[in-house]
Amino acid sequence: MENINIHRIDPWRLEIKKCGAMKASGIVYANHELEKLLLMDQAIKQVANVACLPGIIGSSMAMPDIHWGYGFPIGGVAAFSMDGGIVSPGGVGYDINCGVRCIRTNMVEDEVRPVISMLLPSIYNSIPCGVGSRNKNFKLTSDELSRVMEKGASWVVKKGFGDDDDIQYHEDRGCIEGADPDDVSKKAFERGMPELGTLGSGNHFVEIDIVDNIYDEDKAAVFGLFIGQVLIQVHTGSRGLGHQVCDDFIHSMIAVASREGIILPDRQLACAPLMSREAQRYFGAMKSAANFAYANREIITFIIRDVFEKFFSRSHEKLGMSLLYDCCHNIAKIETIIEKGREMKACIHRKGATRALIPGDKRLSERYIKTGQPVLVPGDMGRQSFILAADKGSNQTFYSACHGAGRLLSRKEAKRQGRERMIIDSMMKDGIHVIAASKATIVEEMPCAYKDVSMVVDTVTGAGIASAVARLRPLGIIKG
Amino acid sequence: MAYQTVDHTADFGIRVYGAKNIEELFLQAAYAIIKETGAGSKISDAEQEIFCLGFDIEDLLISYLNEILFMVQTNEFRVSKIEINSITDTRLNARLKGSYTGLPLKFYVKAATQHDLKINKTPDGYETTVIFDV
Repeated sequence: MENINIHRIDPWRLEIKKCGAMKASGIVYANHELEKLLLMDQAIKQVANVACLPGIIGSSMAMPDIHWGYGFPIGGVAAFSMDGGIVSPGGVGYDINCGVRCIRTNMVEDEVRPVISMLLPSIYNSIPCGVGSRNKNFKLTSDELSRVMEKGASWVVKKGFGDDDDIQYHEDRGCIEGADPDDVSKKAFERGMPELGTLGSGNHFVEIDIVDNIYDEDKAAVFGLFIGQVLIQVHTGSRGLGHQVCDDFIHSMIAVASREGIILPDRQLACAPLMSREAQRYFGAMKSAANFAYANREIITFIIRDVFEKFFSRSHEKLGMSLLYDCCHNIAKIETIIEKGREMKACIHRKGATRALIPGDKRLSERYIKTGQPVLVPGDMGRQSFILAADKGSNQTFYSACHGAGRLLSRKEAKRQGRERMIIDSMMKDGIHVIAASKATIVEEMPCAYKDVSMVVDTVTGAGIASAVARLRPLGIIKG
Repeated sequence: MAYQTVDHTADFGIRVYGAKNIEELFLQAAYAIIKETGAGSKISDAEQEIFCLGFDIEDLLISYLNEILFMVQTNEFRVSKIEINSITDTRLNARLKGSYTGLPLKFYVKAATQHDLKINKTPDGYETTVIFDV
């Protein structure tokens, strides 16, 4: 595959022609501007590598926020047949169910901007952030952790730390069925027990935003959005528990792939046949980690609501702090798709991609059945984010959409170019407050380290995968 | 120590080179990631013994690095010295010396990955590049 042949199909898609060991073609969603950025790293080669795996259905796909990952590209989407297909822990990634949620408020910018310099530190001091963060208030016993892994966000709600109404606005209603904590290693338990209610480091964040543009009044009304409204986004995942599950199973599946005669173009694509014992054990453990991630974001929501209640001396219900949606970015799930006009079940891998259910899909909550699933697309910390609604074109992508802006610069390059003080000052000039657990995080996560998210949104909306509902601009950001 | 950090769009890599033998390559790779994450210690008042298995020598390297990351991140062990007691293509036994200082790490990596991993023997010694998920 040294000579990968790419050609443009239409203004929104590029095709990687099937060659060498590829069992299918590759499709990369990218407009002309994004195409220029694609050749900067090895992401295209990774799309082609995924196409070499057994049982792949349709094409190996990548969303427009694609960038170089390990094994799968970030932004990768691939479906595998129940008969002859595989599941790959590397196709899910280390941060299992890393995801994002958006919490509404009924407040407007004028109520929050004057106090943001005090509100932001209050949230920062309440949520353990940064490298190796732990939360003593929610430290779990081994049995409690098992229940969290089985029940996900509903465990949090049942304990009184969340609202009953939250559950229906999670993907999978906050719990993927079939989690089996017995498939989770002792090491993963040790990592997970002190980490519920922690943000972590890297690209994880809590962000207070303002709705600054509405593109679709009707859908915005259903989503509960209006101009000037204050929203909160939370981005984090399954923390060390998920990392350990991924590591444990990549290690074991290298041997499985060898036993099954599966030729891996990259060891990080280690996988097991879907019906094998090893695959079933991985699903038991991966779902456990995914449910932990749902619970983690729900606990963080509880902490944020608590800070707002104390700060504004009103209940979070009176502040209108309800969940708009929570969706995962890194997951493998058995879902129903339509391929060549035929409905079938398949194992969908999304590695840095969002599920995007179209209007009418029965898996949607009643509120969103006519609009399609909310697709949350956070941008970099200095520029806008978008809220989209999944549209009919997502039946071409196994009901998947983009998950963010996508990195442009390596962390090393960002450190070469960025200076912490200049970045903070520049953001302050734009009215954006930022707090981070470390100086390095601010530099690594600086706005120009990412692609312009509007190019990504232009591509998914142009391709009909989703339609634009609202644009947000940041007011305050906490980086882990 | 002969290593350099490697650019990767989303993550972070280290290239270790010029090792006289496999044992030295393993030591250098571990000392590199310990240095980069701030997991070193000048105090040696505790020990940890690790046993690792691998499908082959590359897989063994990843198992060993991830075992060290687990000790560092979950047990808050800070490392002053590593002694490899025995190593084959699929098994390793090592002793970590250091301290449970609880000092914060400066950089978090989720895990060492198998991405494009290859251990090469060159005229200048053994070399490899390991990509870590950040």
